Amino acid sequence: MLEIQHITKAYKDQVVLHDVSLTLKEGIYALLGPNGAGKSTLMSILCKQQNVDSGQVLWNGKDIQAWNEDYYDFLGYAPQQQGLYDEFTGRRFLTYMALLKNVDKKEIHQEVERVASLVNMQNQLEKKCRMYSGGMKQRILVAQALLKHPKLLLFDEPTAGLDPKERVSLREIFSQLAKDHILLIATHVVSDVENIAAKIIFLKQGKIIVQGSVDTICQDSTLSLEDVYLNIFQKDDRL
Amino acid sequence: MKSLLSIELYKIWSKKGFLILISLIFILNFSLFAYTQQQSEIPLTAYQALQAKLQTLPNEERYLYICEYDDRIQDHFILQQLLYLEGRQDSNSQNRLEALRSQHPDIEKKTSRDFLETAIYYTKNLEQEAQFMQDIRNEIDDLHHYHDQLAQIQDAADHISSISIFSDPSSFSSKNIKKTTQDFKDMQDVVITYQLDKGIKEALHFPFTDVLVMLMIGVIATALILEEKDKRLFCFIRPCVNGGGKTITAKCLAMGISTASIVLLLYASNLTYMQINCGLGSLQASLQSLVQYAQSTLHLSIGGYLILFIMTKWIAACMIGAIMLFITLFSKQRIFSFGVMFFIIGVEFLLYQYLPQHQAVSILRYINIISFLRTDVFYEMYFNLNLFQHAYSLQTLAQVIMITLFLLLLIAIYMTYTRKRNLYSQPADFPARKKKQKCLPYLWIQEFYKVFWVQKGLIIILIFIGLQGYLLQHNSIYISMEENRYIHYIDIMKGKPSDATEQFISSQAQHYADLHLQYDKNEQAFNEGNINKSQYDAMQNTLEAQLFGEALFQKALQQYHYVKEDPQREMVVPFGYEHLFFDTNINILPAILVIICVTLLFSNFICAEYTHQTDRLLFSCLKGNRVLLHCKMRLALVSGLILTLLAYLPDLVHIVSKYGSFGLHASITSLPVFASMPSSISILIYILLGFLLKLLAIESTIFLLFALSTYMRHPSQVIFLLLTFTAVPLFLHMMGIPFLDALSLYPLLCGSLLIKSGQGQLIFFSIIGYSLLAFFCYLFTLSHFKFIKQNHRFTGLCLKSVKK
Repeated sequence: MLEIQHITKAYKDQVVLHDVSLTLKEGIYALLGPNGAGKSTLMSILCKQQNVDSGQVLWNGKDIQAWNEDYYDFLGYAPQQQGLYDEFTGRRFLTYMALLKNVDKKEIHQEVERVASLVNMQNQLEKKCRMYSGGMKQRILVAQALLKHPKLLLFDEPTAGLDPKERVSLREIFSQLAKDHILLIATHVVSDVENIAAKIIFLKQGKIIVQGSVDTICQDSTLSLEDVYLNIFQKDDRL
Repeated sequence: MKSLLSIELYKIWSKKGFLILISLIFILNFSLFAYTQQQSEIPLTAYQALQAKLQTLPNEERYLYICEYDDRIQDHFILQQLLYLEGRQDSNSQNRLEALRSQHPDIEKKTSRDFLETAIYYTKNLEQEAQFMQDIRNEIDDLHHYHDQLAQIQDAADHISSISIFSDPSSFSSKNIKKTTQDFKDMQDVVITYQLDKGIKEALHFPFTDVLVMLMIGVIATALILEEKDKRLFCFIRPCVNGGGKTITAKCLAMGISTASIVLLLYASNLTYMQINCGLGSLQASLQSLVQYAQSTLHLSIGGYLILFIMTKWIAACMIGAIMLFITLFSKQRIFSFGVMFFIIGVEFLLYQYLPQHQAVSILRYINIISFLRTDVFYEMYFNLNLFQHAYSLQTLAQVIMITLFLLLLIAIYMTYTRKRNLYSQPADFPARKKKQKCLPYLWIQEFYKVFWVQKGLIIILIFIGLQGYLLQHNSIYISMEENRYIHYIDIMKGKPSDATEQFISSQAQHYADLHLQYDKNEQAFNEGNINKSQYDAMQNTLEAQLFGEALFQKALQQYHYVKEDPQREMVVPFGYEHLFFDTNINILPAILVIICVTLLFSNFICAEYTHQTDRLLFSCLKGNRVLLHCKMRLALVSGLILTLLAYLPDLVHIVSKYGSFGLHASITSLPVFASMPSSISILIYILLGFLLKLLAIESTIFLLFALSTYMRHPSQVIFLLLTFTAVPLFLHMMGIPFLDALSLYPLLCGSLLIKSGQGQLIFFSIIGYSLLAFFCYLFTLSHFKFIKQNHRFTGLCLKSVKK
């Protein structure tokens, strides 16, 4: 279980996260918000890549700062779409990530094949990463997050650059993983998460303004989740 | 057009990477040029002093002065050889002695022995002076006979044209003879100024500068075209009103201006170095006053020739740049552009190198980029080419053809840019390998692959090895006759003092005492009139010949007495060790090269993780922080060790091969300079300790590099700061500016020099200081290599816009 308790984070005078509290158990959690809402900052705090100014994050009841590096054994993280090691082949990239995740050397080959086939990349592993399309890069990023069966999976904009078919396929993977994993998906594409997420969290200016299941949020049956999203954030968009 | 040109220039010159590269290339060219010049057997100061002396004399007296001085030096050199050989008893020496005496029967009568000690003006010893003056004499003789040679050419032409097979006036041979005669006839009025050509010759003939110019042209072409193609910018630049012809014209002009700046910068630095250290002579003198250009028929002053040289070099460089631009416009893939360029340069080089000089095909040898790039060779020769049975001057024809080709290339670039449809590049689409590639599951192998293959570190290593080979080839060690004689004594007295050595010393001392006694007796006999002058001279000459080695014997004896003071000491030949410990070229220059190499290799090792944003991925992995960092550090430190070995070991081997390796196990106190050191340290251990200090210097530089990389996160900033802190103070020391020595790596690299000058405590402070620096850099890197690069500005802007 992951508990986020009253965390606050500021860059100089800019407060990026303000008193954010969440409790995550097995299932899919969708973190929705526009650019600059603080989604990626929250993700990097959960990855211990940034420190909080106040509050704490507990993993199975213990502060993640106290977990030392063992915490990473439970963590799989796919950051926002970005440059990979362009000259690495997909196989080399996954092998490298498996080494960093301390997968047993004898099992690395099978583990690489397993995660690659999960994201349907098993036939593309001999290509260099620079030859991959945006969607393929995204899938290989998701694949590396699944190495070594981590319990907590954090996905930052996982569907960016994917075509509709790939989006559906990825949603199916997430649904399967949700049975015994905690998935936190940060996105601003509402349709990616509205059918699979157990809980939706709206983040605005670093604050959680709404959280709950899709049904709870869309109490008025005439409004879809996307309408709610637009209602919350449209003023900012106009500005 | 002006604004477009300024924007194109801004694109090139505003890049930090470009500025750092150009600074590095400038430093590399300058230091390598300086190093090469310092390695020549005759020191530059000799040329400088002689050049200065010649300037004080009227032109007509210069030739006489050189001839007279050379005659005297050569006589004394022969006399010295005679004296040396007389002191040796072996039959080989005696045979050589006889041969020399028969060649120079009067030498002992006409030469004063006092001259040996006093009248060497330009070099350190007589042997060097003789060699130096011999070269100068040959050079100046050629200049002196310049007008005679012109007359000879005239006579030869008259003679050949009288032969029937050359008499057909429409044939090339006949026209060639006529043209040659006329060209050299026009040179009759050339005034020859006697001066040395060393400065100009060396400054203009340094092939490494041309290699660097070509490298920079590749970088400029990449900045002007390739990067924009890669980013697919041309698809919206070209449809703009000024995005077509005007833009490509601006790009070509920017390339021309940038190339001119680089050519000027590099050659001006070579010329400045030679002007300061050797002297360039009068730039108003005729070009033919430089013996290298005696065959040239150009009516130019030396100054005028320098302008022509730079212009020609610039055109050749622009030609390469234009070819590069054309290929990059035409090709879809970056690798193809560089491949074709290397192929063209390679073919041109082969044509230049291997085509015969005086046949029909030789036109391809001379109308060639490499021929143009070797500008000094191009202008020093006189050669007429056969074009449709007409004789044309090689230089004129080559210039016309090259400029025409250059203009055609520019037109081709213009047409390609304005008419080609798809002006973008794409990654090389190699078919995916069908066979599964096995990736070895070791972290260090993946990091090794990253730094040496992905980041092209292998190329840097190859360049480093090439440079090392070049330096080693030019690192000549000269063993003088006195050193040889001294080694001969040490060889007999080597090892620990023994009875046999004592016997040898007493016999030698007695031998020299007898000689002195005999010398005095002869003098007394001559004063009393018992022997005449010629008898006296002959007897004294023989004695003096045998007394030649006495000073060296005394020196060796002094060393022997010093060795006897401590049973740990042994007789060793000091010269090789003096080179190894005190020669700054052997101690500092390799370190500068290693530092530059390490900096270029690893500056992007950490930074790339931030710039490619893979830091987010790495830091979320179990081994992505501490373990990964240690793996990277180990790799860098081992590379540093191997590079340091590669840098220093060849010099050690070279010195040992020259002077032999005896005495390595003797105590370091066997060398009087190190008398204050603990006698339990052997020379071998001292060499190893010296190497460890050098290693500390390199490894602490690597730790600093890691700390800077983690803090700055940008390779060009890291390179700039690191080189400013480490390489620049050393470079300043080599330039004779030592004020940063105490703070720099100098005490670690040249500890022996500090011990010699009584400042050994600086080494201790440096060891402590740099060890602490390395340790704190390690701690800093460890504590910072776990936090991602956060785009604060972006988040801040988003938040501000939301708040509004």
